[in-house]
Amino acid sequence: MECYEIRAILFEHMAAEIPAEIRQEVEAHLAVCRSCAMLSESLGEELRALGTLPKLAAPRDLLDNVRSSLEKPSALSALGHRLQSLFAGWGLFQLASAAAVALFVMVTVQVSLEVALREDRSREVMIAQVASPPSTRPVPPAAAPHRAPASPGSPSDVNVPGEEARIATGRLPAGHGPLPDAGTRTEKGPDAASAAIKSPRPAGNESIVVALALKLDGTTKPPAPGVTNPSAPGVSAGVETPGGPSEYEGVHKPEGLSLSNKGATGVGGGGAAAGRAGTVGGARLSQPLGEQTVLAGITRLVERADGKVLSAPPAWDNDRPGTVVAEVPATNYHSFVDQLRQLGKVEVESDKSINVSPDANVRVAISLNAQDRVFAGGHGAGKISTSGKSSAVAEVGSGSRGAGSTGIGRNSGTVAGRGERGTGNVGGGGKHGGGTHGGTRGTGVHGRTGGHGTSGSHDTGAHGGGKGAGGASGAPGSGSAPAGSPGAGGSPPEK
Amino acid sequence: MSLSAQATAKQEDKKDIDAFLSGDRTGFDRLVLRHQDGIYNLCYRLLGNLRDAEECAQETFLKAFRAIGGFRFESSFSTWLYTIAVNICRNRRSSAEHRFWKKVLRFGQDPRKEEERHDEFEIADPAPSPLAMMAEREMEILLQRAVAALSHDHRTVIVLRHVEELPYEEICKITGYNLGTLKSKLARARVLLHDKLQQELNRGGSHGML
Repeated sequence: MECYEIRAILFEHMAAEIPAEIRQEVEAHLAVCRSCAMLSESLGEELRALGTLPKLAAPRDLLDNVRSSLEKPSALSALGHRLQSLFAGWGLFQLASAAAVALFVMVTVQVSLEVALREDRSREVMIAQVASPPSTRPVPPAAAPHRAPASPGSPSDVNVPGEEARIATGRLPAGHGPLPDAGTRTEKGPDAASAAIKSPRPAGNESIVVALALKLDGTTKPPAPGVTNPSAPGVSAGVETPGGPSEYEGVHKPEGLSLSNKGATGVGGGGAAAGRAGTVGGARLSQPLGEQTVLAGITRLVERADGKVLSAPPAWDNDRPGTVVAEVPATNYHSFVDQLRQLGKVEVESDKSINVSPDANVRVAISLNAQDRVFAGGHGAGKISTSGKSSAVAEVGSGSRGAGSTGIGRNSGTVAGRGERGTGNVGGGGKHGGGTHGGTRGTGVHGRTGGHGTSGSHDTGAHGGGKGAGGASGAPGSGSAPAGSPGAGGSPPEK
Repeated sequence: MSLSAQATAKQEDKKDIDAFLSGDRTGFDRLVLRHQDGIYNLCYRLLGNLRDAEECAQETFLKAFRAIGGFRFESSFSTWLYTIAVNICRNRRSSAEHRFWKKVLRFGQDPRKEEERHDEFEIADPAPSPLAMMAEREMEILLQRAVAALSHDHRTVIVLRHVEELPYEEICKITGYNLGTLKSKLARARVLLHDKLQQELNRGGSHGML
């Protein structure tokens, strides 16, 4: 064996871990090779030295240190406890954060609700102010009965104040109320809106607004010049006038009167226009006998029904008969209406809904109707019929003033959009009322419609019934031209 | 340690473990007192520092205290403690703190003095054994430095085999090596240790250590 082979197994040789024959060979080599022998001795000495290294005694306090370490929490457990406390703190922090967020949300919602309620209240206050019957000004009747909402804040009952104002404006020219001067007509809307706007009232004191139209006996009064259709339809929407369809081309369709409120929109303006046209056109009413006593009679009937008159025209005016607003107990309402019929023909919008608690009151807006004879058949009417497009409208605006309004009614009745557009085209202000809001608002529409109709009528009034009719009929487009032109000229109604 | 002594030690260990597991805290105290010297000595040989050895020995018993419930007597309790100690020492040597202090100690040494001592203790003829020419303390320091220069695995097998004089089987249990791997590592560790010792002797023996 060579030296390198011997050195490779020297340790095994020293540990006696090699076979005996190899061990003999190794010993034989070490006996003759001094270098390998010295290396073997050196390695053996090293290993023996390792084995003779002193055995150190552990420190005496090792056990005590172990005990103390066992008694106190270890670093890991201390870290765990620290983490636990930290997480616990985080938990509290998270809990506090969640509570803060929840509180913030609650406060935000509360504030929002308060703001919304405040807005609703202010809106209601405005509505109530608008809807409250004026003490000095007559209130036009509503086109349809409005029941006070049971819940003041219900969305359907709340309208934007501005919209309400427009509604009120629209009601005025409907024909029942006194027609103001052309320049101030639109400003009197709030009065007219009193019957149309719902004002929330507390339960047990519920009040329903019902629009009535009291037609005095026309047969006793001489027809006014230019009145061609005393039995013009349409005191109120949806109510077919006793006289049936007018002979005017555009007025003839009673069903037009029952058209939607949209139609009423355009019509209202038209009606007003017609009436105004009649007035301006020179048609004058003769003073009817007994009409001066009507107000007193109504007052007596109201008092007899345990009601009270809230407002009434200061004096009879043929041009502006006005409206009496009274409030009677619901239990006496029907008897009151029956007695009212003794004074004349009563057109009731609809009182079927009067089914309220006994302690409720019914606010009645009695539109004193000077009969169609007054403004009957103004130029407007003729114009309207010419247009042929305007239908429905008739309902309110026209009713009181005659055929002209009826004709206008047709316009609206056809399509809400038409009435709208037609009004816009011709009547100017009517455009907004009828068109925009007419289709969507239902009852409210009337008010708006009327209001804009007023504007339209304003124009109409200036130019005569024809203009008004044009406004109504203008919707389709073609109607506006023919209607407008004659109206403007104040020409007599066409048949 | 004779076989009878080993058997007796095992029986005592088992009795104390059972006592401790049954709630007698003094049983663990007896275990500590019986094995603390061997664990402390092992830690010192593996780490080369008394303070580290004390801390690691203490940590070894703390771990044993917490894990003694899982001890299954598949090996002797001392072997189990050695296993824990070896792992703790390995972690300690690889820790940043240990490396830092090692650098600090080396940085404090004067290279010129080491050169002078190297010349002073240079042995032209090493025969028959350089260790035989050293005092006991110098030899211990020289061996400790040579062992400390080894890697952890080589150092561990050298210490367990030639310092603690444990049998191969027990070393295999402590280190997790199989017998062949252990012998291979042990042979390599001996050669490396010899080379380290020669280097230390050439550098001046134990004079340059501290």
